[in-house]
Amino acid sequence: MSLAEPPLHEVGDAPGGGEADLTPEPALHRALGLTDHELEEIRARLGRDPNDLELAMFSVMWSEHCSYKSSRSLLRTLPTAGEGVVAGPGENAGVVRIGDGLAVAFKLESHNHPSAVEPYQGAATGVGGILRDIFTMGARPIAILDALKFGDPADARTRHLVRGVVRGVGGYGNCVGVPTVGGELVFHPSYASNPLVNVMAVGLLDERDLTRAAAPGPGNLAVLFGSTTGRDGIGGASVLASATFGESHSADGAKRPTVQVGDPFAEKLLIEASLELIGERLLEGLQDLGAAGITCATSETADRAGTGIEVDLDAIPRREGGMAPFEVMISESQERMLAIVRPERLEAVLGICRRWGLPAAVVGRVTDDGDVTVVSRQGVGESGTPRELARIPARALTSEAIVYDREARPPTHIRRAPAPGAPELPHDGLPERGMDPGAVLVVLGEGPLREPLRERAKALGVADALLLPGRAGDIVPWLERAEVFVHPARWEGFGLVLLEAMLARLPIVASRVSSIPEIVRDGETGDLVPPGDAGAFAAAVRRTLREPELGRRQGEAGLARARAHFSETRMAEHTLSVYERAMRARPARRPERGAGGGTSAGSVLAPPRRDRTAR
Amino acid sequence: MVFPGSNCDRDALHAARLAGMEAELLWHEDPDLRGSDLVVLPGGFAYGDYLRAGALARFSPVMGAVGDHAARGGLVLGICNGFQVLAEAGLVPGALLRNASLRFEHRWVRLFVARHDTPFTRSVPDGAELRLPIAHGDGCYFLPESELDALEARGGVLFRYAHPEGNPNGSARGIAGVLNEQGNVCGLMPHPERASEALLGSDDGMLLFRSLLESAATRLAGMAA
Repeated sequence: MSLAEPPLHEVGDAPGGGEADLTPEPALHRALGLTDHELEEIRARLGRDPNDLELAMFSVMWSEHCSYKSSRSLLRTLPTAGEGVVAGPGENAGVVRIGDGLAVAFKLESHNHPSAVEPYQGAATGVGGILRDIFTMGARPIAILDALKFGDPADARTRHLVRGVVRGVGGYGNCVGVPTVGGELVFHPSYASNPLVNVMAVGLLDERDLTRAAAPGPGNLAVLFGSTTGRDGIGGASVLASATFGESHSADGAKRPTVQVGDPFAEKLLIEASLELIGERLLEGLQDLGAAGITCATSETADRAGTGIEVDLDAIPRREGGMAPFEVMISESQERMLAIVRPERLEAVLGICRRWGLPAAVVGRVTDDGDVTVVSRQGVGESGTPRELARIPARALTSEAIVYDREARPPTHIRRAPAPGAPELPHDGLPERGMDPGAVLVVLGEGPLREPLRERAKALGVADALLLPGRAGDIVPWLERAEVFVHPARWEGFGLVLLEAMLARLPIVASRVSSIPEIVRDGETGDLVPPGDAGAFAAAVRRTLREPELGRRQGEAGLARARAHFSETRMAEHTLSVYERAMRARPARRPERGAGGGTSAGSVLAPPRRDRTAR
Repeated sequence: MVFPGSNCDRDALHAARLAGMEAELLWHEDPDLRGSDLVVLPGGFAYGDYLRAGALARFSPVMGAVGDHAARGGLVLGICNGFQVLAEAGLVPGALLRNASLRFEHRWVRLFVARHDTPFTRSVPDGAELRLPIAHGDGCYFLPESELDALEARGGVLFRYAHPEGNPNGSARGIAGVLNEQGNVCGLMPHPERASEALLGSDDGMLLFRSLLESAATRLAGMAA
């Protein structure tokens, strides 16, 4: 092992240092996976050029993995508020109130790439990471679930991946004492080179134990506890593991795999120590270290509290020597936690960590300047003034990281669309195409018309707007995606599908035939048109699609009507009332049939008990 | 008993309390057993078990006190990892090897109860089989052939895996749980504490905990008399 000190670059150094400019190597920011545009954005946020360490910190925090820069704008559209929501987006896990002062914390996360590289450790550390997100909130993890998708099981590599991933999830969970209680397993050729490994953890907490991942109170201490920090998983969040970077900045150039290795025993100790620290009310905030390591934990906690954190690089316990500052700051060594502690509680906190056999150290303090600062005495001696190696506004790394509004377009095979038609429309009656580009006709079910329909759509040049998925076991997901339900029947006995569509709040366009007018109120819950009149169908569908408010109103009216008139109870009551009316009529006629009673049909046909029937 | 890495400690505490015991958690570094009549070594991965299951835990500060407690006739129950610790500490005979399948095995099994005159099984009805879950990688019970005969001869085999599920891990003679010579220390691989309520799939495990409660009470009454 070389004992040479890694070179230090102070704030204000040019990117890559002076000598880098003389070499033909690609610019450092590109080697780190940052685009030229992103470098400009970083300069704009700092008001100057970043140095190498700062650039490394940005590169991991602005990675897709940490910043969700491409999906954030879409994720924001998801519903997150509600009566029972105790903690929503922005924290480590969602928390929902379940009564009796209790709440559940849960989170789902993918660990696809690491699992494709090293299935056992990839999956295991996925479980470790998701468990930390749960107990960081103050919840005791009680269950793990997994959703796994692999390629063809006949393929040897797929079998290797399945075996490793399943064992990784189960092995890690078993060791920390949290059972894997459910999940799903899907095989499809499209996952051959890209398995999906999603793990979920659920935890239970007393609402009073809810803990935030924030760093409030300037002057409070940042305590790192759990495993020591090493070179494993350097830049796992980005493409940082570049040879160029390693050779020029790391003392020994040694690189561990970017897939981390899990230690479930350490995790178990972390769970118990963390929950004890929380239960004893010793913490101001708690954050686990995952992707982007200390950089992520300090910047996120500071940003949430509107504070800053000064990190004392030399105080971070390491498992190997000669680590460069950037390696320490972005290492993804597993099973580590960052606690924010009031100075007067430090001894109690360190005592609990000691009791659980966990290394713990004060690695920084909360400041009021809003910056994540990295300082070190390396190279200046014990007595010298610490050097500032990096200074970045916490929010520039997290909440104000770059966000992209990526171009979005529907897949080409459903780009253009004809009007919704119907399997039984006359051949000459298919409505003109393009009446609502983007609309897609989905015909569910299996039958002799399926292939002729497909052929005809092809002949008309609208095959790309017709989906014939065949038999759908569960039609609810289809109904949920639909905007209008079309039922061009020639006759109809009752039409359960209409009720299902109404219960899914869909406006309906249907034939005015048989029983349908009894179910669909024309103009109120949908539109009725003459059976077989394709033009009328098209016009009605077009109107509904172009007037979403009309569709919404009709959908709501349909739902109300289905509930009021066609619920199980209501139908049973209707049926029963018919019997009751019939029965009431009987005794009135009985005297006419002569005195003496005897058996009558009426007494044999006793009405069913109402309470049983109505159930 | 809580070793670092124990993960069935809270389950055992729950089952003991459900049986009517006054129960609390003991700490591996504290040799004070606080006057316990029964010490339960729970399942889990004591000290991570990265070396060999139970190999480190036997050296923990509390194990001396557990040995003294056993020598005085005190009751000790080792479940799964607790069984492995007892075997490593020499408090019960035998060793637990890697499962014959070389895989982690977890499933419900049926246990044949060989004796009903022990502190662990006195409440188990004659002829009753216990339905309990197993979950372990190293549960294959091993003892040299000659010693197995001696073990059987002295009534040291308390539980055997029964059909239809059979022997899940390749244990010698289907042995799932054994007794020490004095009959006050028992180790078994299946988890009675995970079968403490019908809601969990079985409450057969409570038969063991209730047996132990009665045994402790009888022993106390005997001492007082």
